Amino acid sequence: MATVEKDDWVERLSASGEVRDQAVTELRVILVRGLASTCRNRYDNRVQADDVVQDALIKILDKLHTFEGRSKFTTWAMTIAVRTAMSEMRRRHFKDVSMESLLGDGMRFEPAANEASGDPSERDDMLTKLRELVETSLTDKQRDAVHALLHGMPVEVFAEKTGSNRNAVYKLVHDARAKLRQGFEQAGYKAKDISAVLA
Amino acid sequence: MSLSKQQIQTLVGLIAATESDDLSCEDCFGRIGEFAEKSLEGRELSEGMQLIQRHLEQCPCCSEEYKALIEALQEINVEQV
Repeated sequence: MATVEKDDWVERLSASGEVRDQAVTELRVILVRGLASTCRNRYDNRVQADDVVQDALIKILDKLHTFEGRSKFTTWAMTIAVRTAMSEMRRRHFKDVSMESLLGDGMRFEPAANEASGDPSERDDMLTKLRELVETSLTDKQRDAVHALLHGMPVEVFAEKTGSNRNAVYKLVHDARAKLRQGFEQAGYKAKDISAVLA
Repeated sequence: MSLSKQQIQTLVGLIAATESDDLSCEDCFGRIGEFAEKSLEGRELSEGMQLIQRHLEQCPCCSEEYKALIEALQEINVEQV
């Protein structure tokens, strides 16, 4: 699905000299305007749009050949700029959070008694099963990733701190979820049952 | 570190929602612009777009970025009018 806008922006940004410089300047203005909103009131305002727009522009120009015209060019460019900004905000926000302090002595399932709801015995059975599955069917890495994410650490921050990448960590966690679901099903619990009792 | 009731609910919700055809973050990122435009225009989501919706419901990172993208697009669209 080609668009007139695609031809215009890509052509101008692929050109040389004044035409390209003008296009870059126009795109920079648009990105700063959009990112100003994105950066506002997130992660303690530690990142300003101007801080990240240059990095975003470099990535956009580097990926220009991958633009397929599925959306407007400015939308496509903004997705890259927003991810660049969010990554930087998260990186700075979690800079001083160590994996050790977050993971502590491991994942435990001990909700306070007054938090329990529904049929207590059924709930206890399912919690026992969940604990058992987490302990026996997940790898150490999967347990750590699930634990960190449940405590609010973004996937990409966990990836950075463990020398991995966002896609690999998402897959690691997704595989863990699939194992837990399979374990529940093998024990005779359907997804809707565990949702109804524990979620 | 103990999990709170809310964290257990989140985990259980994710377990129950897990499907084999779930998208990865990169799959989602590749089509999020198109998804955002359709959402802003109030257009009906195709089956492929529904997979993105499902990923956004399960991935806090992508969901956070999507909300930020919508804000940014609204900002530049208002300015362009």
